[in-house]
Amino acid sequence: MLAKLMAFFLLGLVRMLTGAQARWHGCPPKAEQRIYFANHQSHADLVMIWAALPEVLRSITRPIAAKDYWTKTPFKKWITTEVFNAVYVDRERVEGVDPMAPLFEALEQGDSIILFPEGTRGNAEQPQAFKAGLYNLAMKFPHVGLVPAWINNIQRVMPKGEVVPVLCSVTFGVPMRLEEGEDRSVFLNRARATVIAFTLREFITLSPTRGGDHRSLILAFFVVLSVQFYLVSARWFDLFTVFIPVYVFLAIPVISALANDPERFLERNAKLQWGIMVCVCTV
Amino acid sequence: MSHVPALLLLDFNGQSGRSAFVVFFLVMVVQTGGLMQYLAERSASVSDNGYQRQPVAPRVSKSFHWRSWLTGLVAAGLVGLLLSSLTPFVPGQALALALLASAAGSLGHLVMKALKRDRGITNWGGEGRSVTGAGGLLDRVDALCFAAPVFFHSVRWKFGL
Repeated sequence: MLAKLMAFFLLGLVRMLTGAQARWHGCPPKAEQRIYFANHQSHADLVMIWAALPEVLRSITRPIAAKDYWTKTPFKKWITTEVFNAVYVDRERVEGVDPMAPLFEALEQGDSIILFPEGTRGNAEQPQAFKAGLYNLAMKFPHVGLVPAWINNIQRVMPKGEVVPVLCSVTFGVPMRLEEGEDRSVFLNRARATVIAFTLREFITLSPTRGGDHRSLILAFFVVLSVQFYLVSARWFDLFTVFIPVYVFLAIPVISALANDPERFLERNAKLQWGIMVCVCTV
Repeated sequence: MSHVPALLLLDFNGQSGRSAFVVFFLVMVVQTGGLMQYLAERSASVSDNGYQRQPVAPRVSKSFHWRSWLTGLVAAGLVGLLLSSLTPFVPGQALALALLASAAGSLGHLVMKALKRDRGITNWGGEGRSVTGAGGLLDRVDALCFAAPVFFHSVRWKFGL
């Protein structure tokens, strides 16, 4: 009961803060057994990808969680077990125990799993080298589709020290399989390349944002939107007509300048302004 | 910038002759605030009193500190109070408007600095071609660009003009 409530609350929170958009580019969200593998940049990734899955899939998909981190406190343990139904993996090798055993067990039961094959959180824009675990799984369960997923923007729009992430999305790509006789490193590189391919596309087309835009984005999406609609509902039409074109127009570059990033300053602010004018002001 | 002449055309309840003073008020307040902020930054950088304060946005401006910003704001507020008898505002309103205009202006100055920093120049208007003899014209009025619209719309909203 409590777990259900918590799941509901978390879903709402993630959706409100980040949008938690799922983009199914390569395959439909079908309830078949799958291994999702994604880039890993923050602990929020687990929640993000979980929230992006539709309800039906969420119940049969179990994320893989690092045992040392997620069982450290009773709360973390409770949330991963009861809410996410996670599979724990020991990152430290213990003699005589196969670290992959819990994964095999979950897959044998017919569950789908979410895997972060980098093994640990990366700091770079591009994922680190993939660990062999993905290859072993592909070998052992050749009938299960391997779906690459790209979690966008958590790191890029969330610089260190900031608390509220904005504008995140999860993109799911074309399922891949282990080719006959394919070498381990070749396969792992191929898997990594499919995930990286998303980065470039997202980078070019969808998000021109940088770390320095983080606060401006928060301002744009949470503050401006709510104030604007409050002004409408309160019938303050005088202020309503000038609020975005004048005050917000001037406030956004100020916040942007205070964020200490003069790179492509005019361009970035122009994009943001234009977005606000069209999306918030005119609608 | 068109908000400055627009101020001239505001009709303050039969005191329309006063609107030129309103423009004077705005310019004085904003420029005094800017000047005082600059002087505060200068004196802070000259007097090395033991600790080096970190600028708010070192990659945009090496001299912008909240303390000197507040100094400019206070100075602008004082000037606003002094000038309030020239304008249609009562002293409280004059103080509030002066603070508002000065805050908008000094932050606007910072934004223009970020633009200049991005383009790798120190001032608008190339070397030797300056209009005023002290950097570009836009360097002089960049604070006004931000202060004028905020000031104009605040006045208009407040007085229902």
